[in-house]
Amino acid sequence: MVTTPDARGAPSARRGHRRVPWTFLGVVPFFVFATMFLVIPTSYLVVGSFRDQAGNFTVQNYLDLSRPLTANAYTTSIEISLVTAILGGILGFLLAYAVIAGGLPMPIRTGIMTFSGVASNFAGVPLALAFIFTIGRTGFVTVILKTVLGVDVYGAGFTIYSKLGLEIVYLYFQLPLMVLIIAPAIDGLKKEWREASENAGASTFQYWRFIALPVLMPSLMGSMILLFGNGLRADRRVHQPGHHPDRRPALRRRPGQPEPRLRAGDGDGGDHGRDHPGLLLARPAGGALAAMTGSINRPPQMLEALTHHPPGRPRRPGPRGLQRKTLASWLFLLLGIAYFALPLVGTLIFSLRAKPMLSAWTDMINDPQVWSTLGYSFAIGVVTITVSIVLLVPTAFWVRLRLPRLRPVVEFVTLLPFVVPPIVLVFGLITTFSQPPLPLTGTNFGSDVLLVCAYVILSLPYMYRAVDAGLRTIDIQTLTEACQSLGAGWATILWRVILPNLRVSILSGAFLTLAIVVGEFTIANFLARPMFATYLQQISGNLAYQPAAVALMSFGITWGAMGVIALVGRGNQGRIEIGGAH
Amino acid sequence: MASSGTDLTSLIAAAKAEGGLTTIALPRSWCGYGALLDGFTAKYGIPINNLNPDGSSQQELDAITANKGNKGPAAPDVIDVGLSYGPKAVSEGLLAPYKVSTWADIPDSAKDASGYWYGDYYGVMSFEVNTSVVTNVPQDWSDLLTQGKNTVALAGDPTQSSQAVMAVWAAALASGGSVDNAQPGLDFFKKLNDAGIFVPVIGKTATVASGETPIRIAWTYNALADKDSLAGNPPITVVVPKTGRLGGMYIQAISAYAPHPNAAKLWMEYLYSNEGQLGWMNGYCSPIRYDAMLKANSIPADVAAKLPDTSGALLPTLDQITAATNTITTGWATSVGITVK
Repeated sequence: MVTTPDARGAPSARRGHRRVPWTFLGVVPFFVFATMFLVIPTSYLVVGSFRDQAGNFTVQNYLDLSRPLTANAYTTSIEISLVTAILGGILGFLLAYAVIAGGLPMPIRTGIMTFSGVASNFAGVPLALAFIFTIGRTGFVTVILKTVLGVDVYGAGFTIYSKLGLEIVYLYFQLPLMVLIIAPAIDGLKKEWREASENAGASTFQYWRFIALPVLMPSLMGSMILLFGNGLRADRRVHQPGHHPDRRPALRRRPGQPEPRLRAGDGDGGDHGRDHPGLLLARPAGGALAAMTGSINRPPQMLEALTHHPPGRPRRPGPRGLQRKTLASWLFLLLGIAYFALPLVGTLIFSLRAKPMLSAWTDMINDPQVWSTLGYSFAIGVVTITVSIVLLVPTAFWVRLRLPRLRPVVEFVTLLPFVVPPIVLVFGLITTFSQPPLPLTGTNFGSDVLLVCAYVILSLPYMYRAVDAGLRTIDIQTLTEACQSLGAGWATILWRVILPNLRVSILSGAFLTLAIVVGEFTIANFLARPMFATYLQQISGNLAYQPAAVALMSFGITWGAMGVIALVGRGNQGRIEIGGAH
Repeated sequence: MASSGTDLTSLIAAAKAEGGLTTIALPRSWCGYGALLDGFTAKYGIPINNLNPDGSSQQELDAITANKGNKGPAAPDVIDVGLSYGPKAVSEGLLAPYKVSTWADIPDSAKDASGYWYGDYYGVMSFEVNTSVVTNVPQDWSDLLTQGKNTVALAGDPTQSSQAVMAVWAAALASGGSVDNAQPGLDFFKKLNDAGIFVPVIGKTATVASGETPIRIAWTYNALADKDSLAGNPPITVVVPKTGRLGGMYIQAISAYAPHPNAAKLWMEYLYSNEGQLGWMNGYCSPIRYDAMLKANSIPADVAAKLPDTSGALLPTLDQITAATNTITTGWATSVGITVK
């Protein structure tokens, strides 16, 4: 037997000061990476927000926030975010419960989970237009209601431009985000609790009131806070597509001078197609918020839920209530499908109004640059995923194994990208890496490197969470000891044992990363990379029907890619069980 | 910088040696830029890297600032920004002066005396009308008040977008205001909104086409480009209202940190040559050398016929723009009291 250098099992007293530096070496790559590509670049801008035009210290940029107009806009944002967080939270929970515990077939679960992955990232102008085509004054649902059923919703005072209308639009990404976040918690509800409570004579109401809800409450509250933050952040992209979402007054505006914005992208009709920071991204700012308020002790395991079906748990409901519950689940599912499908149908119908009918689609499909940029985007996506895995798996593993007290710090860092707008990140990166010692922006290859690093940062919250959630489900202490007792080195342990066990989690993180990379616009654009999103922006100006076709196309392609990954991931569910280790 | 006497041949050689040009925020559908970008590359064999086609003026300046030390593909050589951004960029030391060989044709009021920036083109506000929905096509601002409910939209949020600000300002000119008094424009939109005619959403090509906002108030060149791209499906009529013709001008400038300074100068020579000016005209913009070219008889009749009639357009000064923008962005919420989404 090889003597392990492992400290586990040894009294903590044995961990002398000499050990500490070596232990910390394991997280050095992560912190160096985060410092280089996140902390240093963004600190330029933070410092800048306290400077006036002449470079002197000022807090005026922040005082400007309290101007009536700004304050009013924020009040509306907060109200809409709050309503959609609560409503989206409740409805999302019900939908997730119906899909996971409602006795529905497995493929439906996979379909809904992957769909939620795409829909929770659907934002910006395409989303707004999708709803205008559907329940706008001339939307197809509005028209059908009026002509076929004689119901005139607009005559009754409804309008999509009201707060209610906006809330309906927001739910399109709030609800799926909730489904993703809350799914693992619902998975965690043990069947035995239900059975035990029923055996003890408890009613369904009593089960929920005294058992299920108290268990779920922390997750529910944490998720809703996340949704709230997500709404606030998304507000700047859906609510005011004209206002560059990343151009926060606090950071960019000069005091007392509302700047005349004299370009297309100022929303004067130029920003067709997708919203600048990427159509597929409404990234929740609330993650950091939640982490800071401490409302969720464990970060949501949204990713694990996507493909991971915990083994060995009976999925069938008891004979009692099977019919009613399954029926209710189907009903909920159908309502959910109707809500999510109709805006896509509206977009499709609009795209077919082109003449000849399919020309919007054939224009895009026959354009070779659509496919070459798509290929480039997917290639960057694959490299990003690889770098993420190489960076994050050892880090998360090491933190869980040896540095549990460092976990909150690492988690905080992984949540930072939620609060740093991409435009701030990209200008920071360019400033930092256009000069020695690392003049990366000077060449195309260097710019590619920088792009990948920026995307690793953007996907950090998702990828790290996925890996960490995966690690939680396996007993890494025992596995590591077992490997070491067989003479395995760290590389072997990570490559042959830990990585295969994390397969499903990594795949889930991988496809959200892919969705981010394919949809991201701002960073690719300012680094001058020929990505899919930037190309679409180039061609979609003054077009009406093609952007609709493209929005559906990228929605479909991303969903398809996620479906493939989900299938591949499910194809090998066998985990290495630590049989007999206990 | 003895630019007026620049030997074009040696400039071309130097630009070719640099091997590229990086532009920023030039939408291909904007003012005929698609053809101009392609034309420059075809003529000189210099490839163009067009960054952030839908970027804003502020972003263009930000990009120069962030790329000060960068000689790679992300650093813009030239910018095309709103008038007020010229002096601002000069004060931040972001521009390099250059005077194109046709410098004398640019009116003094539309250029910086030292050559740091120079006006390029302008348009006026127009009504982009989907005539499959609207039968009563408005000919002037007052006609908007007789439209059906939910008909008229702006092309932006007046608290954020200059195109929308200019629309409100133009409405002011048409209803008793002046370049120094934008308040009547706010009153006009309040009336429009109270009558239920105004649609509080940012009008886009798609919303005009779908009939959700059958009338959109936009720059002539944007409206006409929409008309071309929709190609009769649905039919679009672009009306330049009889009154309230307010010109919005943009300017060109070269970055002080341009990685391809000679290609940048060559680009300016190209834009301000007859060929470049006609390129803008093909995109429905009125180029700054229009009058001089008209005098020299160098505008082909078919190109001249394409240009919308913007006669009598007022070009406000920088101070007037700043004051009106302030009135409108701050007064919109209180006077009209509706959020454009």
